Amino acid sequence: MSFLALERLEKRYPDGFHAVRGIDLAVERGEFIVLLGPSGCGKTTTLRMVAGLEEATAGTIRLDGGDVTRLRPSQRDVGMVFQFYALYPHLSVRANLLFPLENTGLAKMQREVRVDDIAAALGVTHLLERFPRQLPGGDQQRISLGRALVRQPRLWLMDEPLGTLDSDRREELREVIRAQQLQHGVTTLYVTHDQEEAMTLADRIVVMDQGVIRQAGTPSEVYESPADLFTAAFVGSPGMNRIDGLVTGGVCAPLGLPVALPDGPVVLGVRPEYLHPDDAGPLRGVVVMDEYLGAWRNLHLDCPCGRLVMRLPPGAAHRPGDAVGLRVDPAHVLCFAPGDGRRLA
Amino acid sequence: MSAALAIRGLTKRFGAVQALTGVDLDLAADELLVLLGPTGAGKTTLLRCIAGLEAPDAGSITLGGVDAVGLSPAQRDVALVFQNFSLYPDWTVGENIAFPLRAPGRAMGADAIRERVAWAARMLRLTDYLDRPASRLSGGQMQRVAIGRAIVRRPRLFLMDEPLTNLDAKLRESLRVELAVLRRELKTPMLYVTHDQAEALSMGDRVAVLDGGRILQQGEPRAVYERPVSPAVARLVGLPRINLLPAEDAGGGWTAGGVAIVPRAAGDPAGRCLLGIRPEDLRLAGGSAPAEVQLVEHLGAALLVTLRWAGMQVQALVGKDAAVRRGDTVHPAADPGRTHRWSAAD
Amino acid sequence: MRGLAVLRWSLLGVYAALAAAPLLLLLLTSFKSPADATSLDLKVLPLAGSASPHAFAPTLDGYAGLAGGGEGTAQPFWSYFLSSAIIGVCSTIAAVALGTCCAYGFSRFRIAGAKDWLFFILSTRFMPPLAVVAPVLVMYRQMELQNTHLGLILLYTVFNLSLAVWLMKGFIDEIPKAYEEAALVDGYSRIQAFVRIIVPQARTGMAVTAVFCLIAAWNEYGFALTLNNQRGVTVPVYFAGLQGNISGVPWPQVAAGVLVSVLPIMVFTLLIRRHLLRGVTFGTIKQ
Repeated sequence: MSFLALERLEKRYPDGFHAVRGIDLAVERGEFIVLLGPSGCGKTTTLRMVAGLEEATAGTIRLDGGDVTRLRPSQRDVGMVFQFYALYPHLSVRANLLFPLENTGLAKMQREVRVDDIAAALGVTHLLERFPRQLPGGDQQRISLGRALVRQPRLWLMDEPLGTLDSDRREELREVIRAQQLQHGVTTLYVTHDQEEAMTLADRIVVMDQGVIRQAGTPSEVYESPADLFTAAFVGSPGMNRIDGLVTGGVCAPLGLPVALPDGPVVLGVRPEYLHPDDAGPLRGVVVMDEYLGAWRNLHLDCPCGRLVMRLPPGAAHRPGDAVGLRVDPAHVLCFAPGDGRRLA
Repeated sequence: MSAALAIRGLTKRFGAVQALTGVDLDLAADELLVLLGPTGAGKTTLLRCIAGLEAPDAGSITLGGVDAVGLSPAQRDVALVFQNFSLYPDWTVGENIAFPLRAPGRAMGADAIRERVAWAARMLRLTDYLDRPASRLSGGQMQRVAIGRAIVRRPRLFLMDEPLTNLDAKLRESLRVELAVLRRELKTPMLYVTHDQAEALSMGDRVAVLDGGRILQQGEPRAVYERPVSPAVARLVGLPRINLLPAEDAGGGWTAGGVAIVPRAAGDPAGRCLLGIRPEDLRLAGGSAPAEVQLVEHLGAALLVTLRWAGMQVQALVGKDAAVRRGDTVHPAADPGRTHRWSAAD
Repeated sequence: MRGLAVLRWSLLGVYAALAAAPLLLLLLTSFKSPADATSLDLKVLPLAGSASPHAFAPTLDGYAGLAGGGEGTAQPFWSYFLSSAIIGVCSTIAAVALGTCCAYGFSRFRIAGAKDWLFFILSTRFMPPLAVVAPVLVMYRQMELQNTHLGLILLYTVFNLSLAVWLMKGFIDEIPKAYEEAALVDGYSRIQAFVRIIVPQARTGMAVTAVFCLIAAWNEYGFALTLNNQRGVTVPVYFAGLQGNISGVPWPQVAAGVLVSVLPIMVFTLLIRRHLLRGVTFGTIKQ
């Protein structure tokens, strides 16, 4: 039996907004799960239901074998990190770290030792006597990571913890989070809208949209083999290109690829790195924008089939208006149903 | 033709904090200059000085050949877009966009205003939303309206202060391209402040790297990325970050931690140096010194491999077909022509 | 820049002089004899034995008069002062405590008809309080709350409560929810989170609210006169009583009493000045 199980979990607000529409998810002990999706997809609501900060409208949350759906947050033994740090401003850093331990019945000595240990692990020992408002965001979030871990909770919950930090701090803290998670082996639920964060942190990514789970899988499964068009477009930077195609007699236009699908319209998906410049290729496009990104460049093209993006090495630049021919890697073309975006092949 | 913006020796201090020190900056007409720097580098202060919201302690700001120090923000005719889009929630999109045109002293007729608003909405693909209250827009639409409010008066200069920072990552990506295309069509010079690497490299005609209130380097994105003048610039530009290794000259090549890393090239400094290798320039085979793979991260189109090499932690960006797993031993190598060397004194 | 500083300080100086003048006049009057206080000459120099028409011989008679009874008032000033203090402090504490709890509820929970409730609370202030003095008098007579401290404490608490709820709701709305949510997840009950996290952060608001409540209770006259005219009489009523003095109004004694009675408010406001100023820079979270 899995360590954390969400069964038909649902949240409907009094104003009628159906934030989470009956999701099922099984998480193993020690797993790092990232809930990924655009704002309003229900990922934060799901996390808050697991924490007990929102009441589930229907469904069950099981933690370590017990039903916790109706338990108060304080009874669930979870630690949570908030986007805006939420360190208690009137308490010193040390008092903030001690706070979750006060109700645990640990002896004072043990509490102090725990705080010193976690502060050392996170590299904030020199900040213990300071107050949160005196510290930059990165340090504040480090401390709130510690506050959520110091009790050695059964679950570590994180709600976009890196959202407000600049990219340097973000990368730094990403490493801290991963290291702490591995070291403590604590089962983690992490919410983000940043697919790169999800790809690098997760054991498994749970892609959500409009209150339902679109796909749950390892980063490479979600990236290479998306279950539908939404996941295909949301994961990857930029997302998967979509080309409207038509199957006739087992051959798919406009790429001219053989496919094992019945006749009719189909949507083809190709990642930007599987498009290659080729003057003899089946597609032609006009350069809209050449985005130089250091290690590579994204070439945005207007084609008869829509806007396509091609990932290229940082070689020579293209000018807007240039015409470019393209071909695709046949092995990496995916087919989706035009209506609901389901994956066909 | 005079530059759209010329700044000389701009200095600003807040109490004990030296926010800007001797900043020189030029912006040509029809140019997009990105100011890249970490939090606290002074980017926003610089922008606010140009907009006239802060008075500099020393230095000159010239807008289109006219000395701007002493002019009020309104007289400078620049448009500023903030990170937090402040729209009037009860007004419609159209009313929000029209607001700057109704400012006293602009005296535009109702028809002229309507025409301008329609033009701005068309540029930003907001035409279908003109009658919708701002409170019922998504984050991306709100930021587009905020940009609409900036472009509608056709200012002589755009100042953008991390306009995409508060948006979802996915939205940021698409608006980044949209904004760059829009700017090209408007042909209005723009100063764009960001800490986002992708925005800095992809959007600008030029990029200026700011840290500690000083401009460390400015130039075309590719030049700054490929030829950073100092380790500090190299570290600030590019993600995943450049690997910096303190190396010693051991006759034929550079060594770090006692093991040979890369051969020497002509013009290398003697003695000691700081060696910079971009992650994408580090191959996993062909070298002599072994490295242990500590972590393999799937970045989608590529793999980011963290290695323990010559006693240092380094990262390599490799194609996703590379068969590499945690715990493997590899022999990294880099083409000396693609590495950077700074004498240890820098 | 220097010119600006000079201008700024001279403006401040003029304002300070204007503001301090009445207090200074009160202070001088409190040291005069009744004759000097009503003299046609402006006597501003507290110099005994001076020949100047503007000089007077300072005396402590005014302050001594506060200790004596009789002459239009039943008890010494200090007993009225004590009543005012008990009533003011108790009703302030009650109004701030209840107001904070109530505001927290409105700020954090979904309450059916919350807006209507808040409007109702505010509406209790629409009418001048004295309009209900007659029914309150009848009610208090029946409940035997007349001439008690408790009676005025309850009354002032009720009158101040609407202000307290509205002020405190504004302050508590500013405190991000994430703070309590963090405490809830950290193993604390809702009430513990309120006491340990919200109350310390709402201190500024509570201080501001307390100042307003205390001033209102301290200065209230109409109800105090009507309800408590024998026991538990407050300071404003004491001054009114002095007007009926057979030997004319004892102005030095009035001045001394007024000074003594504004002192606690001034001291209280100065003590919590730090909190009041923090209110200006409120908002600790970047959002």
